[in-house]
Amino acid sequence: MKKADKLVDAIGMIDDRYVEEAHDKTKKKFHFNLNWGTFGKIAAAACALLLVINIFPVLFHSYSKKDSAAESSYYSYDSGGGSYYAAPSSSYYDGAAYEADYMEEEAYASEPSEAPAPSPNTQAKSEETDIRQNKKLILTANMNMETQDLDSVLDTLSAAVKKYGGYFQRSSVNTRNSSRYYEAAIRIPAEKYAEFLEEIKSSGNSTYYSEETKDITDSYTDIEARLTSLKAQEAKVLEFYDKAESIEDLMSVESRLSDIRYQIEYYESQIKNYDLLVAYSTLYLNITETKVYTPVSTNFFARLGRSFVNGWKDFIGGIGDFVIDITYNIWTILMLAALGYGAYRLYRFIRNRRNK
Amino acid sequence: MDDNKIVELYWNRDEQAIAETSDKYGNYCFSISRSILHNQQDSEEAVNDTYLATWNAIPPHHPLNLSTFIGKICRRISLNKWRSQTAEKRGGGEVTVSYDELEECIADDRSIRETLDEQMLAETIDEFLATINETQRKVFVCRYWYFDSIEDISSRFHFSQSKTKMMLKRTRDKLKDYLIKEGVIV
Repeated sequence: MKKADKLVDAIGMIDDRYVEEAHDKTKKKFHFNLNWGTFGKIAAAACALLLVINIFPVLFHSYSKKDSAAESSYYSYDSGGGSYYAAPSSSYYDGAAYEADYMEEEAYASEPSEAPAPSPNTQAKSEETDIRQNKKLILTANMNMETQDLDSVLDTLSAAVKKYGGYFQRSSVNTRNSSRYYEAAIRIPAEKYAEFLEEIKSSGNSTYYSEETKDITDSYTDIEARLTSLKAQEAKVLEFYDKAESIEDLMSVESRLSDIRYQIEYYESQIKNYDLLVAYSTLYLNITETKVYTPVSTNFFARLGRSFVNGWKDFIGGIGDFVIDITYNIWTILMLAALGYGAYRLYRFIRNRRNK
Repeated sequence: MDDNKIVELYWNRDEQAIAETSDKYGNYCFSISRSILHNQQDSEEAVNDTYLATWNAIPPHHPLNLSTFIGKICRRISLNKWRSQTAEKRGGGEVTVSYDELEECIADDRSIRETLDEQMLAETIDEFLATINETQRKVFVCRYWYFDSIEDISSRFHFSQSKTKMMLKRTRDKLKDYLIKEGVIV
């Protein structure tokens, strides 16, 4: 007989509940055993979650960038300036027509200066300038740019804004994916806008441009007419004021005069506001600092390669952000882990006491 | 059929009781027996012997938990069969390994007190099992009651095999200390 026989037989006689619980298939109790392995798994899951949280916006961003890159293949830039005002609303995404326009403009620009014959484009430009002078147009434009040296571009931008008599309505520099991102709303005198645009676009790589021209001529004329009418009314009322004989008449005339003057002030402020909007074009400018410029190409494989490279850059940027996030939250994570571990030890202590 | 009704059939000496037991606990008994004997034919024999032993045990017994009652009988019969086979240099498997592991609990120059009967020893082990945590207890019972393999236990509890082995080693060490402290091992 073996030494352990008695022990084995005694184990065979242990309490039924222990025997039952060991092979209990129906009782699916949640088992949580905190050890380094579990802790590692939880940490890995938390890291993965943070990574996803960080990477998702990056992926989303790269998708947007991809879109913009695709759009930029249709992007054409009219250096003439006058054609910005060719229509109440214009966009530079109309494809071939604008591409053709662009080519013509380029050809025109490269012609020798002594060539006297005016091209159809210059005629069109002068017509457009006439239209612009007669019409009240508010120009709003959006532009995205890339640069390898943001500081230098910002210097150029500030100098250009100053040179053309404009001003910054707002501006900010942010950091995104380990690179800087500049946003600004710039107001430039409308007649100098084209020159200004020409100057700043050469300071970086333009990837997107759109503009909208709002025609307010009708409302402007209407307000002007009302203003003329109100001023005429004011003159008439003033005549009555001089001729008033009783206090009641005087009061009544004064009240009417006050109403008219209030309306005149209101319309005058509207006119001033309109004048300001017409006099100054608004450019919403976004500049991204990048290491490599986005090339303009419709070739599928070039775009594929570019997407791959951009995706990788964004991925690396995302990892960098993730590490920074982890470092930033390290004390919170450590504290939560310590609290969780303390709670677990307490739970085990209470359970062991109960079992005893 | 409900366990109480099966026990009632035994008490009424109705042979249907064995059929019902076989239907309900046949596989359970066979798995216990198979873990010990590792042989289809021997296991089937042990299970049949279990039914007979149960028939003889009820009455006078009136088990509150029929499954563990039958399981214990099956385990004992299978172990006896295994012991007789071991004497003839047959058998082996998990039971041999488990035996060797449990022998570690009893140091070379010591033995379990002669005067202590199995029931008292079982009660001491019950007390010990109450001191360890649920997982350690389950793993211990799976290994030394059911004679499950390390692989089966690891898969049941989602542990690595090394973790299971380490847990069993620690539990055995604790058991040894407990048995020495209680004066079971002298």
